[in-house]
Amino acid sequence: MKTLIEETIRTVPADYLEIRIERTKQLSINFEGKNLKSSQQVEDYGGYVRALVDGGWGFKSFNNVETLKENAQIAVKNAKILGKPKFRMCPVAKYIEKIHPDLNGKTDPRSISFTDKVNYFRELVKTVTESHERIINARSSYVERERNLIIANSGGTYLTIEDLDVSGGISAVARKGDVIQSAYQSFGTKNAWEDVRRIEKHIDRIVKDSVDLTDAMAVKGGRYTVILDPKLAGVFIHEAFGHLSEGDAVAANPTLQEQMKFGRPFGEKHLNVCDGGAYPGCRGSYPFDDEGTPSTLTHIIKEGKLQGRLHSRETAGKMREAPTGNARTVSYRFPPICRMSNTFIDRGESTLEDMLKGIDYGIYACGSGSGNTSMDMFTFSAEKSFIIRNGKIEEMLRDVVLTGNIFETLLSIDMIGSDLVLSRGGACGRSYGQRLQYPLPVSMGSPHIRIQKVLIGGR
Amino acid sequence: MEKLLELASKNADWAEIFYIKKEYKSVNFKTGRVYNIEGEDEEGITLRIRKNGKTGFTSSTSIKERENILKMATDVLSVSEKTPLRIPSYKDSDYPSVQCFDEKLLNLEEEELIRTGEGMMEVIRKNKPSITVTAEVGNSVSNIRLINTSGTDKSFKRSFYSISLCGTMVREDEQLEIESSFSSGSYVDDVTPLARKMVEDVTNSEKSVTIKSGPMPVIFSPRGFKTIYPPLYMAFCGDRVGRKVSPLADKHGEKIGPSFLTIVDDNTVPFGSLSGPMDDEGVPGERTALVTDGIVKAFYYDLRNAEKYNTESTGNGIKRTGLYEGFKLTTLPSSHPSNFLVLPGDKSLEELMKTMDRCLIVEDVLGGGQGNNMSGEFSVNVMLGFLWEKGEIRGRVKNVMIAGNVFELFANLLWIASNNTWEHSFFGIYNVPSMCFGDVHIATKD
Repeated sequence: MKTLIEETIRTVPADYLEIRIERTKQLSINFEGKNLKSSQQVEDYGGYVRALVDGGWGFKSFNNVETLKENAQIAVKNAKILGKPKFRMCPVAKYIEKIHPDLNGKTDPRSISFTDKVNYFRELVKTVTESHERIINARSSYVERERNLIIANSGGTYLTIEDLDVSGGISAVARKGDVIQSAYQSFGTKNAWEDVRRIEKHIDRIVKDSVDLTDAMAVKGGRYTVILDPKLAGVFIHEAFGHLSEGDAVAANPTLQEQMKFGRPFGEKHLNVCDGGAYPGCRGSYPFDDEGTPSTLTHIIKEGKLQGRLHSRETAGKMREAPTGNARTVSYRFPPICRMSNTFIDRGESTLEDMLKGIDYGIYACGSGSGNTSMDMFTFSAEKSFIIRNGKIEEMLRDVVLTGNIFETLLSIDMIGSDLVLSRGGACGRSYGQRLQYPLPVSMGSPHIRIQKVLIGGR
Repeated sequence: MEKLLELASKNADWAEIFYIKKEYKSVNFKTGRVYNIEGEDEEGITLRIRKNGKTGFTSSTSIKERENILKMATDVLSVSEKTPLRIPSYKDSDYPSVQCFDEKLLNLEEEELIRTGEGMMEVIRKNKPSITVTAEVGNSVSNIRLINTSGTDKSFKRSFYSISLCGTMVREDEQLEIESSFSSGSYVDDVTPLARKMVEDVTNSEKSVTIKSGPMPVIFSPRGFKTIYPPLYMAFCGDRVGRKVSPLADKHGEKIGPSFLTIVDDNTVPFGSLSGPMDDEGVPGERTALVTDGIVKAFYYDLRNAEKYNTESTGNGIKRTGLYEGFKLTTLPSSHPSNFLVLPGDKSLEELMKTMDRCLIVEDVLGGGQGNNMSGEFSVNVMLGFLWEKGEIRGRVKNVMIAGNVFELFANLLWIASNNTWEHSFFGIYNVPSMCFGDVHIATKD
């Protein structure tokens, strides 16, 4: 393959040429109740060529990798149809490296047999199913993805990457009358079966939460002072600021550049927000992004002020800012675009006790459902919530969906805890025309935070 | 394919191969200018085998590696449990003739896609020069074939034409993204109405109005329908009904809405996005009336769940995984909607709007699919919504959330207009009209 790649780069003329060849083996196991719903092993082998000529991009993906050179010519031909205005990709040094998963002393998930994995989840799901009369269903998922990747470009970079990503989770579904509720715990790891097994510690919790939620009240819509637990605060910052930090939207929009100028205050002095593939040991950790740029750790917000953005080489070049190693793709089917990696609110000094003090009536929202963003607006949902009355956490609430606006909500964070935790099981989706680049492994996290006057939907 | 099927049949009681070869091309626009041209050639197969009541399943894009493909499927089979599957057996004459391939899309050149996109850019540039526009114009042609050892051998071609448009408006401490998209199985000459609709949305958004918390009639436009689509389609899923995790589990034959409400799932509609003679497991496509005259009449099934719940497949064995993903080769078929339609009413939207004194028009929402879908619940931020008062749109409402239960909403369905359009969201593709519901719960920050 190497000969063909090098020959293609040498003989197909373009201002910039990038080749990705990818072979993925994926094993998955899904239980639904006591039954194995599906298990499968799949292989996906393919690649893409991306060519930049006079400012126009041509992209071509394919399954028949023998036709690499012909596809490169098509990509160049398409790039030429477009052209203009020219721009310069931010220069990055060339890297020739081989990268393997760091298995240092850990149990490689691939070393556990297919049968043992199936039996492992069968037992877990059985435990959940039989644990309470209101539990009507339990589900588990396990996805183990092994990837062999070559990323090469006309700048001389040639990376050979072997990458392992394991993710999944277990959920319990409880029913009481017409009310159906669920609770979920995810896992994710880049190297260790031990990380998967940590799910065992959460079984009792998800059963209890799902059952308790069927007794919980639905929330009444309105504005509340809320405390978010680290898990939900992580989703919050991912949605609230992470997406708007993706460099391509800003690079393409001069008005947005005015609005998102470095130095502009978005929060109080205690607010620090970071993202970076160089933050170690998480789902979104990687040495190089999908353009071959080394990962970094970027302060998006420092002491309340905007300080960084997440860049690809194109957006860094166009905005004359430093590359951050955030060009990522979910597979060879898509070109890399600006994406998050590990996004988090950095530690503050408060404790949960401090935050509860002074709240007469508010909401403590915990655990992550999911979230969405469109420009300055975002929504995110909690797995379970509680009413805070006179500084005390009291009865449980269900179906809490929160919404906000970056220009107001971040400024309304009045307390930040010291208990930073990053999640391990995140998947991020970003729309790409009518398709979705999903699921991209990411982590997100935060300490406990308190926000004033958050709008919550409900009846 | 035949060779792999033959090889598989020696090791199994039954085997099925699904093959797809897809060519996709698209032109993308950024900042109102053409940005890139993309091409995608996809070719892959899936193999499903059955032995002693167990299933093995695999997929691969290296279709010539037959031994390896069979080994992967056999490995899976060896860890499987006994699962039901209604073994299909269909002759060519069992398949309906469905219009799902437009020759015009086969020969559509990149230059023509560029011209189409530029036509839309021109409309927006002329009317709303301050809007930053991104767009994608794409088309694909798929060759699909399914063969199994119980005699099925069916191939067909499906074409797809899709356009998405996204306008960004940035003002002092305000950002708004307006998205609209369109897809069809056939070529459409003039797509500028999509751009004109965006211009209209932007005009209507130039003035902001505030509303107070409380119940109010709400109109979901076809685009706004995505608010209620996830909890709605999930409730009709045969598997969920069988497991009693659907709010409709015990509601077969019961009235859930007024007599003018009819909902169907139909893979035989001409040029619908998932139209075709069969589903992804070789079952002939059909029209399934889920709700007729307001009464729940049916649920949708794939082969596995049909056998499990002792019924017939409705041609809804579809390769799709979760809420957010479309067709996925690597997935076992399971119960999913094909083309989901709410049938139009008799009266035009304009005529019906005249009867409305004051209401909220929901065009687009943030957080669709994010509430407790299983229970039929939704809770979303109204990203693009307008206040209608005394015969006109007063302006855009911001920082508003609406919440409720889909089935409580349908019990209070006031009218259905005749303005059906195809809508394309990540949750699926559907053809629906504007619908007006009585008191919907609204929470605002004011």
